[in-house]
Amino acid sequence: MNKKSVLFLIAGSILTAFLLSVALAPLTKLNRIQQLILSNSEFIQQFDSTYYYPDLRMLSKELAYKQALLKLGASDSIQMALNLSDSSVMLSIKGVVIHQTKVQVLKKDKFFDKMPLEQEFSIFSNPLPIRKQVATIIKEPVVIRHAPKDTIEAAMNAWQPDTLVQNPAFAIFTTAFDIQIIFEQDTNKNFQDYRKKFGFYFQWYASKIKKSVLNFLRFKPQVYEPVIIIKIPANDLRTIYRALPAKPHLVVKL
Amino acid sequence: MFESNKNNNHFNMTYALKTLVYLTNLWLKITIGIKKHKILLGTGVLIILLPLLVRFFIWQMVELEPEPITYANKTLEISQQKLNRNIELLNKKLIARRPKSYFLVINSSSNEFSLYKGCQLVKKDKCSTGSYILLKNGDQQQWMFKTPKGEFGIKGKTTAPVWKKPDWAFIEEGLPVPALNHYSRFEYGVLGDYALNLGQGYLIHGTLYQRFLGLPVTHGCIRLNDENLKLVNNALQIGSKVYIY
Repeated sequence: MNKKSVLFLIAGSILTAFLLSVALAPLTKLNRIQQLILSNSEFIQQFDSTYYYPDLRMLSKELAYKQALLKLGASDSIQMALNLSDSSVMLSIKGVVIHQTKVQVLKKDKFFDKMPLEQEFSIFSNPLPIRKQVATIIKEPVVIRHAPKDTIEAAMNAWQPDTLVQNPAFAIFTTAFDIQIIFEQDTNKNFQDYRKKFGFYFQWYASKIKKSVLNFLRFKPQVYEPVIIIKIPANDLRTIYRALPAKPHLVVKL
Repeated sequence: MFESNKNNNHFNMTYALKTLVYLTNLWLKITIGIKKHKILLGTGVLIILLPLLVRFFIWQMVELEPEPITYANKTLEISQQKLNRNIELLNKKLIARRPKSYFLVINSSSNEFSLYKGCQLVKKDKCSTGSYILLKNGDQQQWMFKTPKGEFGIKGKTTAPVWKKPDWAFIEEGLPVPALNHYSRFEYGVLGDYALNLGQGYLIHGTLYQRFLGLPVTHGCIRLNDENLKLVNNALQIGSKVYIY
């Protein structure tokens, strides 16, 4: 073997190790969640193994969802609930549903299908805090105006009312357990919409790759972020994003 | 239950790892034997395909759920009844949170209101909410004209309300600010026939500018047209809930 081949072999091995660490991250995550559950003796006692039966599975999911909704209702601020079984997204205050919209398109990672019921029950029977919100939507479309000096200046600067800023709507909510909920507007009408979508996803992938590479270089375990992609009408998405406070909670039913 | 789960994982993981080792060896054999550009091409393809392939194998092979234990029908029936009972109980608690009488929901993003009586929608129509204008008067004073979000209660109701203009109403028109109880501060008829007080200076009232309904034009109050204002005023009582989002 010459020098080049050795170098190539080393580079290839590092690359393979990196790719494998990324690819195996979902399993690590599921195992980590399982360990968390096993350490929670109270939950283990509560969870009934008959729930694994197909007839009871849906009922147990419903129970977890309702439990989470009830806990969500204890909060004073606006919160979000995502029911993937009946394809709906809801906003609520103190348990009162104030806005509801139908999910047009739904995609979720295989991770959620492979998640054992006890894990699903344990995670989703509580509201998940949303740790990070990123969006193309302006949360508060503030318009700054300076006080006119006199009535003539006020008349000259007369403001024409218009709807709030309506830019293309894409948003990512990262919750506890690093679950990412990606909201997309259901239709892209023009070039600007597609450009915004491309830019939005490009940034998202770039940050994911950067995070993975840094974790690998620092010998840290890879963080797997399971994704749920939801398409809803743009106006509903803007409404939801603008309505949510800085640190909202989310309830999910898979 | 968890013992069988762990064993199952281990069994499948061995297969998954064996397959991965085989694929890696294969890749190394192939790439070292061919020309540079093909190596680069192979590496590129690998970068894209390897994680996908590995994920595919993982999801195919790994089964994390334990094998279902056989239970007697009676046990399952009891579990089902218990689950149904718990769900029903939670449903009742959730429904109890919804006001039984009239309540108002305001969407400040689309400038729409919905009047409900319990679970029944009574009326949905346009309204106007805060404009999100930040009015700056030099460095000293500023006002943000936005409608607050959250749960509110009707604190008071007024018929034929009179608007006592605050300082910003003069400043935004370029007028000098008069004394606190100066006659020029009082305007009659501009708030419509009724005003419902939400507290903190925010009202639900009527408007002279009905063409702006459906647009964010207010200083934080909620404007309705005359017909809707009458309906809302008659429906909502002191203490009735108003949800703004």
